[in-house]
Amino acid sequence: MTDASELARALFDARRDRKPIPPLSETVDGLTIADAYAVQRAFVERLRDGNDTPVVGYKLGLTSKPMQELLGVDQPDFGPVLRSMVHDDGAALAVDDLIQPKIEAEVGLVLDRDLRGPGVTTWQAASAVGGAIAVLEVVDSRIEDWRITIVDTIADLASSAAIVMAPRVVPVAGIDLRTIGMVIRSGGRVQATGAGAAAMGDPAAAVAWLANTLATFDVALTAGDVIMTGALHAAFPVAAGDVIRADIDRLGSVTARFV
Amino acid sequence: MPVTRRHHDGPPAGVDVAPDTGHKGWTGTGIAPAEAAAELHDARRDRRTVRTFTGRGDDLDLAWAYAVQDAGLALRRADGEQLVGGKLGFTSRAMQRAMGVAHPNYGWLTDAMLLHEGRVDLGRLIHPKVEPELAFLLGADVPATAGTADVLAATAAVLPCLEVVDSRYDGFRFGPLDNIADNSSAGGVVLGDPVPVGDRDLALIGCVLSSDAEVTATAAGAAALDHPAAAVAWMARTASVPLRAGQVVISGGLTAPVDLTAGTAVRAEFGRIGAVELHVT
Repeated sequence: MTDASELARALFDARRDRKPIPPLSETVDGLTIADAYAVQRAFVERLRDGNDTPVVGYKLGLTSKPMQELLGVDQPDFGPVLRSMVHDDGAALAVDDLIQPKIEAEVGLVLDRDLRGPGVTTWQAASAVGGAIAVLEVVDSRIEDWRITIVDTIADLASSAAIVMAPRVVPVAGIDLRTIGMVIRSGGRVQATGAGAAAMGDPAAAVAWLANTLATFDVALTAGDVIMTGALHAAFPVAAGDVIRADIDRLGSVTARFV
Repeated sequence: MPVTRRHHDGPPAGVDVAPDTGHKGWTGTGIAPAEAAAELHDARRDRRTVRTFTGRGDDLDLAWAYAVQDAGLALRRADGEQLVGGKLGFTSRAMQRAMGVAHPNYGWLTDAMLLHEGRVDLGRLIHPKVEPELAFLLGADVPATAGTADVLAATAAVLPCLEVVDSRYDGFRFGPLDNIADNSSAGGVVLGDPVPVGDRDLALIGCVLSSDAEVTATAAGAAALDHPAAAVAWMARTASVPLRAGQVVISGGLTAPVDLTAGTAVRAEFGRIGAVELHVT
């Protein structure tokens, strides 16, 4: 394949200039999933170049069956979440800073303890999780018209752009994360609903998958990491003027405004 | 006993005026409601499908469609079936868009539709599908002016529910009026254990639909007209007869319907409410 840093530079430039590029899967022969993660790492290094914004957690993508079927894959993907991508509840996000943004509501899980794969089971992941938080994730693609395959989205930060988090983390003790319901509204109008199980059948299973996948890169999850466990509904486009609110049972609400 | 239509003469509050509301009585020139009802009744009994009525070029309207439904219920009662409650259809915005309507519809449930021990026999249906819903067991009559709060006040308990829908039309394809005439595709109902509403926000109750232990869809209560009790209130305001204490009203599918195939176990779980299973034989 082409040098990962060159592909990362193309994605970085596309993000900075808000000029999407053709799918890497079309312009680079034989790009594997491992190659794509190498591009992602180079992209992240470039984003962090010259500033020390830390990785505060991870986001999972393609965690729902319909999304996996849409992209013809049987696995999710992940990308790091940098502190510079994280916003407080009610944040105003400028669409001019984005290319073709969409929004999705997710359950964020906060680890109480370190979690190192391989071999992490769902119950082990669940017991390492201390809290849950309602999250809105703004996804964006640096690839033209969202024409992505799994390697395109992996290389492109798992299509992540911004994370808006509810004001507080709720202890998960006694909450069945599989069956908590979610309603997302735009301008007060219900756009979609879902439940926790949309994320790999169980948000804790998504954490276990992440721990085991990170282990192949010799990376461990650490206490305090926050993991966005994947959209609970089909993402939809947002535009300036939109006010998006997600309510998640037991976790409260989170709002993002687009300007 | 025939039932008489009360108030189809205005759109329900909060729902856009649709082209097919506003009729006080059917004045069209197509097939008479009693004839249409008999055709559907026989088709269901013989497990046959029929052509849609709206596809026959007749001049039909909403009043006609509910008159067919009423006549169909009268035929079922003549067969000894008892009215046990009501059902909502087209309660999701996605389904309303797909059908080109701006409001839900309703139908009636009889004791013959209750599926016992969570089993459904495909040999008794035509081309059934299943969808998860919240059911309301009414502890008091619901006023004809009801809003969401009135329904909650009249609710003794909510129950997990899987509704088996079936259509008496060719290819499970129909227009909104055909669907109403066909009792909103009512087929069968399996109910879980009742629980009091308590402090649960029914709009946020999560619903997980699984088929043979694999999650096939998720939703929350708000998928039914923004709040399941709002859907029941719509029926109370719109239906020809009041919703009564002791009846069960199922508030509309929270996910898209899923085809039923023999040997499958379908499970619907509702957050903090419980689960219900359907075994297909």
